[in-house]
Amino acid sequence: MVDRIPVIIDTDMGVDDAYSVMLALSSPQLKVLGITTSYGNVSADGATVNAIKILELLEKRVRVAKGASGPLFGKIKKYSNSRGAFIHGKDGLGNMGHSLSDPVHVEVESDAVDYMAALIRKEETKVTIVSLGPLTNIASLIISYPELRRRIDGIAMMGGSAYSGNTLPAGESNIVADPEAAQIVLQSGLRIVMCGLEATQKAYFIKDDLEMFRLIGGSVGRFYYDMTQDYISAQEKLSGERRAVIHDSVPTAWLMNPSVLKAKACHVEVDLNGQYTRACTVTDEICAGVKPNAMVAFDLNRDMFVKMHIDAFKQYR
Amino acid sequence: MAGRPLIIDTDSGYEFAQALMLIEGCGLFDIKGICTVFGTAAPNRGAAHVQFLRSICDGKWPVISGSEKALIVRRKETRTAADCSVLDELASGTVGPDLADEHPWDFIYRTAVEQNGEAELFCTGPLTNIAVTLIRHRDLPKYIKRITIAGGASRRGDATPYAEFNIYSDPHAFKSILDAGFKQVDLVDLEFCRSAHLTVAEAGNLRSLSADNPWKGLLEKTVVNGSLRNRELCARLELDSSEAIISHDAAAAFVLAIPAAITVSSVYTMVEQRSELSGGRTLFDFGKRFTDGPNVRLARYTTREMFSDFYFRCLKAYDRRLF
Repeated sequence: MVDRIPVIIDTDMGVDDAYSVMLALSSPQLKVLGITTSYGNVSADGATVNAIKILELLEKRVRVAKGASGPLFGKIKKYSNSRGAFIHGKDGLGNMGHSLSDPVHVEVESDAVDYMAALIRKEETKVTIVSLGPLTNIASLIISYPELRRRIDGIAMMGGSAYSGNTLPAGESNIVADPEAAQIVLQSGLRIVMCGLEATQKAYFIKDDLEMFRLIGGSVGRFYYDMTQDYISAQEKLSGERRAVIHDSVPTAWLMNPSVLKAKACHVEVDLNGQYTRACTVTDEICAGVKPNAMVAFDLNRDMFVKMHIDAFKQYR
Repeated sequence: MAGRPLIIDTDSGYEFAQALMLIEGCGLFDIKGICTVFGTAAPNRGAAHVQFLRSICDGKWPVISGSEKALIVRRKETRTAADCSVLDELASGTVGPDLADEHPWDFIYRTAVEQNGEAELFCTGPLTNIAVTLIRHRDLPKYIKRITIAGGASRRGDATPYAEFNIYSDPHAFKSILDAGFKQVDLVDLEFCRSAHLTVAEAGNLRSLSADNPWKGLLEKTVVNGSLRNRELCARLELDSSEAIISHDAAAAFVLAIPAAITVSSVYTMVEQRSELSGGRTLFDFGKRFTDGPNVRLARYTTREMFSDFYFRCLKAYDRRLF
């Protein structure tokens, strides 16, 4: 049997993060060492509580560490907060967090960055970081533990976009939240897979998919179905299409089976001083005069993506 | 019947030569004058090219040399001498004697006023001359019926990953046009060329043009064999340069001449002016998620066959003129 890939999941635990965590914890290909949280879709405190609740729902014993409550520099943008609540609900779990029991096995580590460093040191093989939120924790890790870079196999991140935006015309939410952190990560020299909007917008579930999850997934499937109802309505208001786009499951799905994505080596830098383009992940597909520093996903096999989630939910029937 | 009065502002080059061939060949326009601006060629050099092209068309319009640099930004050269070498050779010795003794901003405004609001502007270079006209004559928009611009990129650029050369060269000038209140701003971005270009096989037909066609020599030298710029543009637009011959300016001339053949999106358009990485990038709010009403009509699509048919019909018109 092939060794499982050791991963740390860094999350701002909203609705699509919950899918990603469920997928990772159900995967025979991945070994989840720990979960770190940060602000983003909800506050860092909210993300931590949500992570613990989801782990208890899934009956998985994984330690959680609370991380950054704001970006490296400056404050959280107001529009980031309001957008998070609009899409993920006030509690980050589609306004359904109250239906989950309060955490019993509360094992919260004190500092996400120190905890990541400890996990990486302890693991015999190189560790992959799955980034589902703002890159603040990961940038802090890279800066404060430079000796651990060689112990990191790479970063699979949901974030960025080559040609569009969601929070801003050219800015994707996770990068908009902390552009400087994203730039530190992209300049780190680590192997990076950037799952941006070009690919993640194709990672959606329709009503029939959600019904299937409810039917096959026992109490877990029923909770995920309920959690996704307000989420899908919010996205319909934004895009006009009744689809639950599960951005954050994309990097996890890629780690489980890279053929789910079509990616291309590009040079990516974060625009830090644009009037309209700050936080844009400036993606040079041609790499004219520059070296590639990230594999950028441009397409996704939706059938395979849905099937991976069906297989995951089957474990909870 | 008199044609539509047209003022042209250009930085010259092979692509502009094709655009002028189309504009004169289609018989729809009454060219009032051509101003030149820095960009592909320096304005004086561009003026020499235009004078040569005027002789091909047997035209009588004035040629005015204009701005030598952008309003604010200073960019490194991104175009090579090879972009104009054939035009340089053909135009050598033509610059000077009959260059109009007037600034382009005064010429543009004076001509627009004379046309009582019927004049159209067609711009295929950095937009500095137009911006200076707006600075000097703020009421210019009320005298311009429509401005058609070859510029911008809704996906990939040709100067940087996102920015198109004309807008990149002077983003502040483009911003001044967006803010000026023109009645109709038609933008023909690079992406439009994906549906408006010739095939290499079609370009090969230029060899069989009548020996008397005045465009034959120039087009054979510059279009049939392709160019470094064509290879670069094809790479940016994900087209095969062994299949496609692109002229951004010719595509814009097609939009100018036959607007009914084009699918457009009315969209709020922004231009990045501050960023080091994204300066000159045009951003389009297609979903109307971030901004209010549209300020630009962006050409989105045509059929390649319509463009090709228009191109060769215009070209053949020069054959008929000989009889």
